[in-house]
Amino acid sequence: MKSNARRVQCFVILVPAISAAPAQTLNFELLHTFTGVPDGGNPSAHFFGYVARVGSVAGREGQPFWHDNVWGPNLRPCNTG
Amino acid sequence: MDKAGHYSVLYRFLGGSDGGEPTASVTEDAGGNLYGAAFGNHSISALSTVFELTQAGQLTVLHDFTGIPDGDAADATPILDAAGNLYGTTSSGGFACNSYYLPAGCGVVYKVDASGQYSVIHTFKTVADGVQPQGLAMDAAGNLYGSTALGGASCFLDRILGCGTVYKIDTNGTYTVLHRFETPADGVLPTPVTVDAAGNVYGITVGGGDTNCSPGDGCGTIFRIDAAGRFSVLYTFTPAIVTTPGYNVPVLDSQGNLYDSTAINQPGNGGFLFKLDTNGNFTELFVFPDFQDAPQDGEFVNGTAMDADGNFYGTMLSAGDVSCNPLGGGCGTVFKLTP
Repeated sequence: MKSNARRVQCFVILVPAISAAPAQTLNFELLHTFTGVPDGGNPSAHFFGYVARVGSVAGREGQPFWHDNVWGPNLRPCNTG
Repeated sequence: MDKAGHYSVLYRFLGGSDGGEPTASVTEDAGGNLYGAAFGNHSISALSTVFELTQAGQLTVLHDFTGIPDGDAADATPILDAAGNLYGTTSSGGFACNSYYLPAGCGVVYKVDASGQYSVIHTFKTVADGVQPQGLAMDAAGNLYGSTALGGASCFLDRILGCGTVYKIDTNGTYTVLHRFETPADGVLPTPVTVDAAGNVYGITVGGGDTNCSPGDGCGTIFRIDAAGRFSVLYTFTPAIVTTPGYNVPVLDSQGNLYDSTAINQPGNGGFLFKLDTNGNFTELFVFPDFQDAPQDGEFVNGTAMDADGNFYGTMLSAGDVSCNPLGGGCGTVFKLTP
């Protein structure tokens, strides 16, 4: 996954603190860990919201899109300039 | 992966005429055949395709996309109707509704009938129509519903390409925009939607809502469009709940409660699974471990599915075995949450 390293850095910088976590009501079980070859890896990418703005944000029309390190499948730079 | 947790690879894409980069999930028919879409990768000549895959691992390409006018970049999970017709969307191709920003096209809704015949049932031709459709849902009557990531009306986050729509295609093929996201209060930039049997549509936006959240852009809303077309906001994410918006596709249980997970880790946790009940009560059900504390569990929750027993399943995009990826980000995991 070519952009993972940049993505992690971006989140660490941008995200402020959040309140303490509530008590867990579900138990986490790890079913499979992908190893790349031969079982695959980085399953899909269908989450939404890494980019709260796409394309021509007001005041930034025509400028380069600055989310290319975090794009999802529907918000990829090849489609938006 | 079977119920016992045994993992097996059914097919490995060769990255040519069979397609490549199948980023969407697959849909299973009554006979156990799987249907999916491959996003494609032009740089390695891997086509974008819709395919059928048998349990024996035999893959058949039902259609390979060429761009304009039939669509391209099939990145959404196709769905089946009772007659075996397959429906899906492409986020590109079709028609260039904005030739400057979107010369490769604004997407289509397609159908592959039970005999394997491909057709486009809607082409997104104007920004007002919607831009970049992202998957479909179907009600009990066979009407299709979907959202577009962009398009619709000019809004405070994107004045040219718009901030998303929700649309319906009825069983006669008539396309109707149910809602154009325009005001901060409604939310903007919707995720794919889900629909109940009666035709009530539910979705989440990743922007708008409380504009004190995510430096002015808002952290999104949970919305409903009832079967009569009335839009309402069910919940608005606040900075106390979410600091960086990032959601998966919501799911409904048989009682109409809505579930989803946040995809992005935040300081102290790795996102969370939540429930919005039919009375509007919001509950965090599970907080995923922080990457720094438990990299072996994975990072970036990627999808939410649940079974009839109340178990949740999902994948993590990265982490897990952090040695597997040359960049050190890991290759992801599959997990289960049990009550």
